Amino acid sequence: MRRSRRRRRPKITIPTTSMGDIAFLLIIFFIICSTKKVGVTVTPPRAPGLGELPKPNIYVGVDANEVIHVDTREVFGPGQVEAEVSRRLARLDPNAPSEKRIVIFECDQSVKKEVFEPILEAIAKGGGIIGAVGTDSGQPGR
Amino acid sequence: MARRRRKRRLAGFPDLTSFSDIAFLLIIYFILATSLHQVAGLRTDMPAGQKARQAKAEQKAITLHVDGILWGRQEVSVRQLREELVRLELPARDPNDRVVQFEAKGGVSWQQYYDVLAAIEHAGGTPGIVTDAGGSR
Repeated sequence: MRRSRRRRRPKITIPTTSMGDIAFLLIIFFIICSTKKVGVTVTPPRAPGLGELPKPNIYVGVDANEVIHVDTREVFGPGQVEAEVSRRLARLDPNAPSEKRIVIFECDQSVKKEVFEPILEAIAKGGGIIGAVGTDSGQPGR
Repeated sequence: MARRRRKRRLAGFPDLTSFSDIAFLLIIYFILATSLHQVAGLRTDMPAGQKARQAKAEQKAITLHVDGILWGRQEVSVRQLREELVRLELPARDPNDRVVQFEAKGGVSWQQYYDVLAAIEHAGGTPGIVTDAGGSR
């Protein structure tokens, strides 16, 4: 009786070959989910006939609350923007193409002149070419 | 002899079980690494110092108010400003003569400012920004 019961038991084997791969997939998933977003959340201005901007070498962002960021770091005032831009551009090869000097400037459409204009000045004084981010509205109007 | 050889080959055969997983990993990597979204915008090389002042004295300047745009003394819409600037044929000029004086008054939003910048860039000009301090950059 005992022998026959033992024979009936099926051998259960769990394949564990791909467990490592599944673990890798999960790691990748969580790394992606926890990635910090580069840039600020803004509503960019709309204008017709905008061109494409290159991938940012330096990023300056101003959100609707007038908080200024250089890349992911918060800065206080145009003076710090100028210092940061000139410091970063000084590292560039003097013979580097002008594309490398482009500073991506992203600003919320509601921000007032008193805030953004000194930042534009600071970028220009720091030696940067301003690449102002906007949304293409298609045909010219108004 | 023949049996022994067969057995050795089977023992050295690579395990292909995880190949599909590796393929998936590669697909995920490339999907993430490839950015299809291109940022749109204006490229503006704003002149600093003397260069901005070289704008021709006879050329009209743009003054941007909260409630409108002045092209010289004439009030214009963004569309009219674009047409006026295109009429100047700026791309045919010497690069130093392409500067368009542009002054924004207090309270102007980035959207209004951007409309004017886009109009200048569209016409092939370079904005020479006149600041509150009285000098142009």
